[in-house]
Amino acid sequence: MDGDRAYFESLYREHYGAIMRFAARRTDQQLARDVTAETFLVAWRRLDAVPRSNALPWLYATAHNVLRHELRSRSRRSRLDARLSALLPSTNADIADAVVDRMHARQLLNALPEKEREALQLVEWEALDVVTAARVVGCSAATFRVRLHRGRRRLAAAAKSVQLAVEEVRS
Amino acid sequence: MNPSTIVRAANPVADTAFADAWGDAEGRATFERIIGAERVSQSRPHLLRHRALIGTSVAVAAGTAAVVVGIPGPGHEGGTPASAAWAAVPTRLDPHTAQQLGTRCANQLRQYFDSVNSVITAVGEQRGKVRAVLIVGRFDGRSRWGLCAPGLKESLASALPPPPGPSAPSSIQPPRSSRTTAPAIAAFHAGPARIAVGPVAADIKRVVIETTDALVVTASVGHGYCLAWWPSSADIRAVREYTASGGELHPANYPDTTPAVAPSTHR
Repeated sequence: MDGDRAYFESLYREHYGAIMRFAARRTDQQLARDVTAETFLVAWRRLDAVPRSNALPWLYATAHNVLRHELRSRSRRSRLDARLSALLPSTNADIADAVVDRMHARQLLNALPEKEREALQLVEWEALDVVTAARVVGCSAATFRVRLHRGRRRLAAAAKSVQLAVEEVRS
Repeated sequence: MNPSTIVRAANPVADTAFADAWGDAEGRATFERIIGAERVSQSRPHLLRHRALIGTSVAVAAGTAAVVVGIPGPGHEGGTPASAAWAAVPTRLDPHTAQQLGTRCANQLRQYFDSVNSVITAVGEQRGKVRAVLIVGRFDGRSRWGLCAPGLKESLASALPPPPGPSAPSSIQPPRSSRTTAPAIAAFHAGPARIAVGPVAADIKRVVIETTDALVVTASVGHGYCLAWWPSSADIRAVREYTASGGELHPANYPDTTPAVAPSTHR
C-alpha cells in the first residue's frame, strides 16, 4: 500500500501539469480542475491498470473520456463555448495584436469538425505523436492521420479565405 | 499562416502552466483528497456502492422539492444491524475523519455538484456503528446537500429549502437571528430507520427531536444544518432548538411542519 501511494504520488507530480493543461485548454479552469481530479482518482482506484512504463497516454485517454462525459452529462456545451470565447490575455508585448490573432485562430479552429479539431490540438498543443494521439481518442493511427490531414487542409483553406476577405476590405 | 501556426496561436494555456503540482494552489489538496478516497477491488466491484442521500434546493410552491437520487447499499456492516448500539446522543466525528468521509461522499456524489472542490462537510457524526456525513454544495446556482451513511439499509432522497444566508457553501452562514417559524427539518425513510435533515439558524447550537414513539434524539448541528437518525419508522413529533446559552426556542410540534412532498424511497 505504501508502495502504491509512493508510485501514485510520483505519477501525480510528474503528470499533473500535463493533464491540467490538457483539460484547461478545452474548458474553463474550474471544470479543468474537476476533470484533472477525476482523472487521477480513476488512476488511483485502478492503479494496476495504469501502464508503469508510459502512463501519460493512459492519463490523457482517461482525461479525454472524463471531459467528454462531463460536457455531455452536464449539457455545458453552450456555456463552455461562451467561456472559451473569453480568452485569457496573452503575455506578449503587443497584447491587442496577440489577442486578435488568438481570437482569429480560435475562430478558425472552432469552425473545424470536432474530431479534426481534436486531432490538431493533440498534436500541436500536447505535442503527441500520431500513434499516441490515436490511442487517446480511441481510433487507429491511420484514421487519426486522415483526421489530421483533413483538419490541416480545412484550416489552411479557411485561413486563406479570411485573408482574402481582409485584403478585399483593405483594397 | 500555416495550419500548425494557427493551432498553436489558439492555444489558451502555456506549456509551462501548472508545471508544479505542489506549486499549484489546489494541486496538493486534490492529491490529498484522492489519496483519502476509497480504493477499488476489481474482484469485488460491488463494494463501490454506498448508501447516499442527496437533495437539492429547487424551489417549488410547497417549499420543498422533488426526489433527486438514492444509491443502494448493504444493510449491515460486518453482519451487524445498523441499529445495533444506536445512541440517541451522537458522537461527533473528529475533523480529520469527518473531512475524509465528506471527501469520499463528495466524490461518490460528484455528478450532483458543480464542483467537488467547493463541497464542504457540514456535519459528521457517529451513532453505534453508523457514521454519517452531511455535505453541502452548489449545483446550477442552487444549494444542494448530500448525505452518506454507510450502514443504513436503504437510501432515499428528498430536498429541503436551502439554509438562509450567503449562497457560497464555503461561506455558509445561517441567519444571525433565531427562527420565528417552525424549523424545516424533514424526516426520510431509510429502511427500518428514519433520517432527519434540515437547516437551522446560526444561534442554534443544539437540536433535540422527539419522535412519535417517544424517542428523544439529539441531532448533530453544523454549518447551518442538523442531522439525526433513529432506528424506527416513527415520525417527528416535536423539534426543540436551543441556543448556546441554553435557552429554548418555542418548540415546534409536528406534523404541522412535515414537508408537503412525500419523500420517495429508492431501494
